[in-house]
Amino acid sequence: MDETLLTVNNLRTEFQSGARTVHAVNGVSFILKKGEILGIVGESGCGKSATCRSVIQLLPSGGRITGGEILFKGIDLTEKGEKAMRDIRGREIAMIFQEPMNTLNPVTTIREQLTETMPGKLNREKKREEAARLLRMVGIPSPEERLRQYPHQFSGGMRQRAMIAIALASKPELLIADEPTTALDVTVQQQIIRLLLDLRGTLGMAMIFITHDLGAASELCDRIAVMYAGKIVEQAPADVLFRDPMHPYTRGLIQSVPNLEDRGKRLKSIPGHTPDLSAEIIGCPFEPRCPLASEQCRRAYPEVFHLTADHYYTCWNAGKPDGRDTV
Amino acid sequence: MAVEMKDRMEADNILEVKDLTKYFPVRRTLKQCLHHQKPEAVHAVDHLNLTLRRGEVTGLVGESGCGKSTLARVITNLYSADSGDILFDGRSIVRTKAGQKNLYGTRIQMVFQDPYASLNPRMRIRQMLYEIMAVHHLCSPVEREQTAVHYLELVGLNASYLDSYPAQLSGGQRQRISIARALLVRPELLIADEAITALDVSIQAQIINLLCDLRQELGLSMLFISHDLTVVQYISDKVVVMYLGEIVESSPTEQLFQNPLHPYTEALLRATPKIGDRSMIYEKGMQGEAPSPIHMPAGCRFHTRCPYAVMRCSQEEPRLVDCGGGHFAACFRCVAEQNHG
Amino acid sequence: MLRSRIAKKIRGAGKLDAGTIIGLVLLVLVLLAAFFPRIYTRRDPYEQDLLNALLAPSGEHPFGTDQYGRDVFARVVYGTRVDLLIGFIAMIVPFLTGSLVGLIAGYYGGLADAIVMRVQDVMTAFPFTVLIIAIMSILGPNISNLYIAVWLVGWKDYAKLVRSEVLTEKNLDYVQAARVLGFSNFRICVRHILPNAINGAIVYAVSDIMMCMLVGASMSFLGLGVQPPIPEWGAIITEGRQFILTAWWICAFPGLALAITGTALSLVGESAARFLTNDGRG
Repeated sequence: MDETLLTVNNLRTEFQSGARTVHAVNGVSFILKKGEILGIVGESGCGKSATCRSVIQLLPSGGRITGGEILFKGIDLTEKGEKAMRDIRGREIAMIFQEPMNTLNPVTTIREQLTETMPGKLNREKKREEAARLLRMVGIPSPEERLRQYPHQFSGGMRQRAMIAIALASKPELLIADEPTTALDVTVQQQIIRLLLDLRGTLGMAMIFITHDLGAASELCDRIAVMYAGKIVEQAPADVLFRDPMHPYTRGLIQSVPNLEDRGKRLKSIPGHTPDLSAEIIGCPFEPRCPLASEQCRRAYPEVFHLTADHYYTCWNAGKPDGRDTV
Repeated sequence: MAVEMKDRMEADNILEVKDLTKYFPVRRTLKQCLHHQKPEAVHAVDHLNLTLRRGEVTGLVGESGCGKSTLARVITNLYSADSGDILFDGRSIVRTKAGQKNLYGTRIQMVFQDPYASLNPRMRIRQMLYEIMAVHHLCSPVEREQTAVHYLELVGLNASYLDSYPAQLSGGQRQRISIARALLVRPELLIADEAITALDVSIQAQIINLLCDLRQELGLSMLFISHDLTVVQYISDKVVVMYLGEIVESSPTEQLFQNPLHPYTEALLRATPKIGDRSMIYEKGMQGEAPSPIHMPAGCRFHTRCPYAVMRCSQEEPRLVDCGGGHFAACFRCVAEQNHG
Repeated sequence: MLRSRIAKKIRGAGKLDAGTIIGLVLLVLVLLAAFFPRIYTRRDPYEQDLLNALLAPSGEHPFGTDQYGRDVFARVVYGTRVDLLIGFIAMIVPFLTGSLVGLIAGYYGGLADAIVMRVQDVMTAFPFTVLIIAIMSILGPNISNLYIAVWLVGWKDYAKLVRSEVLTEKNLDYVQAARVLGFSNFRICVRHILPNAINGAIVYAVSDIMMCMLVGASMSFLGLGVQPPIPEWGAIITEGRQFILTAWWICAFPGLALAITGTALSLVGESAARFLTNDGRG
């Protein structure tokens, strides 16, 4: 039995914006084992970022967790104070972001930013060696020179590598990556994905990888959770999910990604757009866009159906023919 | 006979870009001034040749910073060219006077990348569309509403959007408005500069389908610019691959994807993630990142990242040569193959 | 149409807070004094009554009388119009010209921009009031010269504000799209860039009215602006200055009027700023 690192149970997070309350995360549950890479996939506004920011409790202003529990190594993080969370953030849970230039400090050298989170008992020389080792580990050539440089002297891919190195400095057990490859070119994206896979192999840390790019998720993740309107609508091991998607939203997403084989055919798209999360939604939020929608979907949110032990979805009508799949 | 053929070929070209160059000067540092160094420049577009045929969709692919957006902006006259020429419908649009340039405002149109920045936040959709009709005298004032609704319906929206402000619309809806706005002047050439990059996957598919439909209905010629090869292959008849300001490969779409000739195209194809296929990740990918467009590598621009690079590549610059069937590539390997074959 | 739009906007901006309400109420009171001074008093601000000079505030003369026996309350009320007008004209002319200069400099850039910015730098180097006094002493003391002086000194702030906004706006895609659509530069500037670039200047203008009123009052106090016997708050204070120990009311009430008007304008200006920055793009 693998050891569980993180358990999220029925998490709810709200954002207050003016008079509106946006229910960004609406009862999300998942389990992350040690050394596992979980992908959270969904379109903008589906609550994937809010989920992860809730885990490390770095919500933007107006956001607060209103329910559920987050058990990290058995301790409920929602009950921790800000000071205790600060110890956990950066030490045991680290996070990397989409745009490294907004996260790296532009006026200090890479070396200072790398050594900042290292334990104080190390001396200067030790810290420098450690920093160089980290840069080498994330594949930055001539690290000794690079340590003296500032973030603006790095290219986009190198900055993302530097940010990963900073995240790794404290040897975290969980790395949360919020769209880390979205701003990068495909060739560089491939390099970063490979780097993350290698690091998991050598350091054995668990990872939550947030992305809207199904292709990137399929290359990196062991298991994938698909989110829609603040809820997980389907979860399965990555290969199973792409081979045998059950939820009509997952199917729609996969089919709307152009691939090299289906050239010339008309792309399948999901009609309509995502619902307003500040309004109360009765029934299934995907119902207005769903090809399988039935009366039942309008009345009640679907139960969780387990196909296998690790593959579940929330849909009343999944598996019924929808007219899209006719070959 | 041959001359006639040539004439007909040229008449079919809606846009010809000839030896086009656009540099952006970089400000000198104090040290460089003191040492009397020449000011450096970003070589955004470097002696580029490109031909778009009437009624065709040409996909232009390249990584960020390769100069594809600059090219679009030179063609639409947002930037002026440093040298070279652009022929639209056989006539130069680089050498016309400023006053006449606006004439092309109605013949070449562009859809921009960021749907949140490309619509004036203080104007209703109605005002935006009416303004264009008024400026270009497209129809009489009484027909304006009807025309506006017609174009909204063309892009899959309806009259209820007329009185919205852009802030009230989603990204996909805004991008549809941008397309309607561009089509309103009945352009012959539509340039889509990363027009779907900022949208969600499901919305991307909607917009790609929309552009395909519009092309069929209106017989538009299109230059579809994207960094994403998979998107480009859906919509394009021909694909052009750009690297550091110049074209490295150009070919009918099918051929390019089946048999990429340039190592850069090959690397791009290989780096594109494929759903449910994890094998590619363990293959040897391209190393490093594109060099700075200020200090161009000598010889072939790609040789610093190319897995097949030999001595010659760093000394000599390969020319774009025909490798048969309208498939052009700028790589010594193709030339060698051709010589042997 | 316009009214319903404004009403919608106000509703959209959320409930009015206490500060805005107080500001609006004060501003209405001040504006009433400016437009309909007879609501407040039946007395003539010029009527002298030497027998009743320097009377302390009482039911008859709520603000007392000055050395010529004129009713200070009437003079303060009638002064409102003079002062507001000074504030308004001294604001609006620099606002219009400065915004125009900023728009042109920002949009076209190049030499025009360089010249405007250097002139502006030079003018910023001198303290505001000193510059006005200098210009006034060259032109001679009267009210229209005061306007000219404030104009020469005041336009640069608007130019700077608008220019920096224009510089960001003109590179946004909607402006590029307008250019691709073949719109004229004039149309792009006025219809597209200006409405998006003017907010900062409007907010500044509201608080600038107060600054201009103060400058007007100060200049009149120094004898460079409005000349007696016109009831202007600064001029009234000058006249009352020599009696400050015996008849404090002559100086105190015009000062109070200035303070109230200032408070009203700054409260309204602050909520206008919040309102404009929240608008449209959120």
